[in-house]
Amino acid sequence: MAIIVNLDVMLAKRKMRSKELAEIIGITTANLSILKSGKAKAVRFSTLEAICEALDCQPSDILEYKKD
Amino acid sequence: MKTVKILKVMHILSWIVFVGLCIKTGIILTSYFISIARPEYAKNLFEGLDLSQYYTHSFWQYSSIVGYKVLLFSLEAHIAFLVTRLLNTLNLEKPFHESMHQLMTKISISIFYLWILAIIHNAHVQFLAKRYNFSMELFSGDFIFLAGIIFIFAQIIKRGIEIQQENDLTI
Repeated sequence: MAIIVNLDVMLAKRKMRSKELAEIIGITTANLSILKSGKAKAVRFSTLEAICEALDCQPSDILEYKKD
Repeated sequence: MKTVKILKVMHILSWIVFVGLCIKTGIILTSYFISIARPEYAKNLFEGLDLSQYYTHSFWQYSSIVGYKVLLFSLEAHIAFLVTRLLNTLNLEKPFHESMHQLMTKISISIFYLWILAIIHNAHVQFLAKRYNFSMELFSGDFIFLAGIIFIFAQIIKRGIEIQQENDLTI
């Protein structure tokens, strides 16, 4: 897929664990894993907002576009 | 809640239909085997089903007509069984499931086979009726319409599965 999710990079930068982030933003670790692996079909703005708030970053830090 | 009750009743009914058709098939087969030794049994195979004119004409013609009937009822029993499985696997929380699509496709294919069987049976019986002046009893030929409708429903279910998967993968 052309959209790459850099959530694991941001988590490493903020020294935060997936489980911790999942608890803060209120989604399951399984769903966070789907998001991290790039298997997700869509991301809700509310989820994106919660992630940006928790990691103190911009949506562009998490999502990246690369031509196939 | 009303839907759940209706589906429960339909589940029980489909089991009753399945068992009834199995019994019907069994009785016809048993009567057929008895009629091999005692031809008078061909006059009443099941609930007044009289195939004695075919028996007196040719035993093989008689056997093939009985074969059509047995095939028809066993196919109908198979469809009833598929319906019981469909209602058994149905989850109203998540109704769009791959097994639902597969079962509905199987049901539509089985009804399509039923239609083909009805065409072959009717052609055979009409041929015999014309040639030997037999009274004939035809199978209904409307199965293709039913098969088509169920196939369309199966395709709708397929699209529903895709939408549900997308929904499940929306985080």
